[in-house]
Amino acid sequence: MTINPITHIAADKYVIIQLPNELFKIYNTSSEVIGLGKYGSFKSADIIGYPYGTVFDIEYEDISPEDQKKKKTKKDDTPGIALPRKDDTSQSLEISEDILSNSFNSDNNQLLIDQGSSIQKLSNEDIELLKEQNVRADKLISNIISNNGNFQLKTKQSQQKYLIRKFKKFSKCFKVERCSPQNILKFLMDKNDLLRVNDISLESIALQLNLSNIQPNGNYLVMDETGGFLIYSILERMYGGKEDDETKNGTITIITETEHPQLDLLKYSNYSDEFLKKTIKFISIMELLKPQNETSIREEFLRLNGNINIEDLLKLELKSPLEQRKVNWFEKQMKLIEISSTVDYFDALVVQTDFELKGLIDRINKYVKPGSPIVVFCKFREPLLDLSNEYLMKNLNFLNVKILQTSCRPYQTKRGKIHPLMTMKSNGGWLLSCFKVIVQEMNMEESK
Amino acid sequence: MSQENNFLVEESTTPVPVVEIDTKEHPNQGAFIHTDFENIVKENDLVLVYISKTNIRPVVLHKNGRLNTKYGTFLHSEIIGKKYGSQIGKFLNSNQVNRGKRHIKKNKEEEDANNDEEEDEKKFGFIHVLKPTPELWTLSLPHRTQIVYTFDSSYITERLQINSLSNVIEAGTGSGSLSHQFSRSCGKLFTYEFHEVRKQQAELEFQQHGLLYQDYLDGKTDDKNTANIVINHRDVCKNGFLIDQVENIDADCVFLDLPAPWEAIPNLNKPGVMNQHKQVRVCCFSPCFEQVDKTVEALEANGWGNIEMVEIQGKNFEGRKRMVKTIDDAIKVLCDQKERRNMGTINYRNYKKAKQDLEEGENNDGHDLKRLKTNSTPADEKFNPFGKGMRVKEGDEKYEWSNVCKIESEIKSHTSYLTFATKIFKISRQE
Repeated sequence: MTINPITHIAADKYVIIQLPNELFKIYNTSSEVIGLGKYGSFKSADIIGYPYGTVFDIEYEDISPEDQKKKKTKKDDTPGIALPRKDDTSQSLEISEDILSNSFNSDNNQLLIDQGSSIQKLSNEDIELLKEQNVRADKLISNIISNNGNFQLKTKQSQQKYLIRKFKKFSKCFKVERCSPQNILKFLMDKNDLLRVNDISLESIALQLNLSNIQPNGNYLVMDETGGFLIYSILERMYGGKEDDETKNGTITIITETEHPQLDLLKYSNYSDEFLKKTIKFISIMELLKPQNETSIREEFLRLNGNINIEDLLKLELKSPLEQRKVNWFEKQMKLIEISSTVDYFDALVVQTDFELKGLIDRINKYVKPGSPIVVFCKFREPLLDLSNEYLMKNLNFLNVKILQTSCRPYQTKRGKIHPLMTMKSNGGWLLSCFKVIVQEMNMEESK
Repeated sequence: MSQENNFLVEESTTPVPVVEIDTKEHPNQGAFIHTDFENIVKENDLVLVYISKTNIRPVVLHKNGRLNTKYGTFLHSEIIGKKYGSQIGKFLNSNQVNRGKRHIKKNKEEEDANNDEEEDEKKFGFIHVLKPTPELWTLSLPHRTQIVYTFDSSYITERLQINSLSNVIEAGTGSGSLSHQFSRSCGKLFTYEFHEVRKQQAELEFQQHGLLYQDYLDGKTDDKNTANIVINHRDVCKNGFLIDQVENIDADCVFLDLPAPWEAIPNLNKPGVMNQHKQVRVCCFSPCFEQVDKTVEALEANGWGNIEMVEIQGKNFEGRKRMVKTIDDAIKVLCDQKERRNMGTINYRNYKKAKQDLEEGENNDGHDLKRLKTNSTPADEKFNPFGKGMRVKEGDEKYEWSNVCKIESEIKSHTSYLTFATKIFKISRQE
């Protein structure tokens, strides 16, 4: 059975790895060894072929102290072996409760006295030595516990908290996840880099996609200020990672602010360049709103290329690479003209931008089919309000103007201890949705 | 255990619309997919007629059909041939406009009534014709049960990572609101409804909308991406998920909107139900905390992990205008009033004097008296920056306004708890 790169970890793909401390990191499986910092390192070949979501433990071969001295190599240099947890279908990065059941615990913290670090009999060096000897995390932790004078005086709850803390520090397990838009968002959240995606929350992007009515065969006009995150999310709904489905042929046309669009998050999507080229079209604001015509392009061609006639080049059957490039340039310009002159074409307008919205929507709404949704995301409410009150509501070409906000409240979901999380992301952004419509021409005669 | 959702008693605030679809007719296929470049409304198309924010009606257009709205009767032939998104309007006759207004008018001064009539002449009633989308359908559909609204459903779709490759299980179908949204985004949707009549209604609806997989198999439609719903009449708690139509469901995502999802969760373990080799996801939709607790228990017992419960809070706002009233203007109004009152006092004194003079028969013909008596400032000459005592329309250009956001007057403060979990049934390596 070959590896299905959508559901299973494959070679040469970006993957997201969740570490025991619940941080997310992006790696590419093309590198031979993947290093997870203090959590160890492993060969990427070890994980290829397993389904996404599998939890792996890093184990090191038992090296006797003498061997270690002989080789004089540090542990960090040799990658460990990543072993999948085959019987653990729940894929939670957690520890068993065995350690707890072995030790006595107190009903309350009456006897607990803070004695600082002196209560731990193992010194830092001892712990480092244990780590050097590649002791498994659970053994290491139970070793630490048995040398902690206070552990048995703690309540069960506090023992659990203590264990989770130690686990995050010493455990060597990790989970491999697909670079889906959702996981990329988690990754950015961990990096405290949500600014890059305009502070959008998962629930807001979800709502934006639903309101835009994204379908596999639609053509969408998009403005993306999120470095490709919005485009990846749309692609995910349309194609789901599969590139060669002949029944799906939707496209995304992206209006860019710069000549070369900055979509660095799109590289994590694992789509091939050919596919992206086929599915995504770029047009700059200038090419869209200040379009050239065929004659001016011909003139420009002549100006750039001396006296080469484009018609002659097009007729040539065999073209040199240079000639081919010139023809490509010409054809691309012609396509851009076609896009900028085709109104009432797109099935939805999906916008995330920093530009002044009134002017923008006023000038690009003509490209959207009447009856289609226009959905605008903004980090703040006021620009949307301004758009709604000062433009959309004054204009009969827009129907059902709504400003929406959605927020997700996560809960700590452990039975007996269910409660909303103490902190959560507060600003997930705002959305404005409306439909573009056609105003009936007033015919006073008809009414009489 | 009854599958009827007993936990929700609240009534939807949107009025149940009258569906003007004859139960037996079959509109053109592809009602929910994007239109072609022409974008023209054709005969026998299922369209959504947008009358107002709370009144969106699904209608199948016929040559001789009529549509009655509060703006009067529209002929279907007026709509056919127009582009989607078109406004269809007509001037209302005075009967329609003045309906319900007459009794108010009687109590008004004549002058006022004349103004009204002038306004009435211009009254223009209109509707818009829209292409159905699952989200608009959610607002317009006939409620058979409590439905899942777009705030929740969009999050569920994203969180379950539903995309065009996913096979999705949904139990139960209910009013089919979520089924439409899933069907749009997913590969194949297997939906179960234990209530036989509701299942039949939903099945007919899916068929009319061109979403039924059986129609693809029967060759009635060739769009496999759209015709992707497999519906079954089944109590999944008792009888599990396996069906006759396909050998393996191989579902990637499960959505359980049942009163007792914990009874259905063990049934997911049967081979053939879930995709065994990849990470699969489940979402349970329960309004009560106790249900969540039992659900979490069942999920843990059946090997599901990463269990997380969340709550979605969605709010709708609309842009409104607030009059800008400056303190300086208020001071001016008071000054103006004070000035006029003083004038009045002086006037009155003069009036009294004039009256006395008249009575005493001194050199007066009463003309002065009349002038003094009627000397009050007419309403439109008073300083009135805020339009007090007048009917001011929001956004009237004579006044200054600022933009404000108004939240809908009643918000859905709780719909349901969403409990998510993931699992890989068999972890095996592909070579």
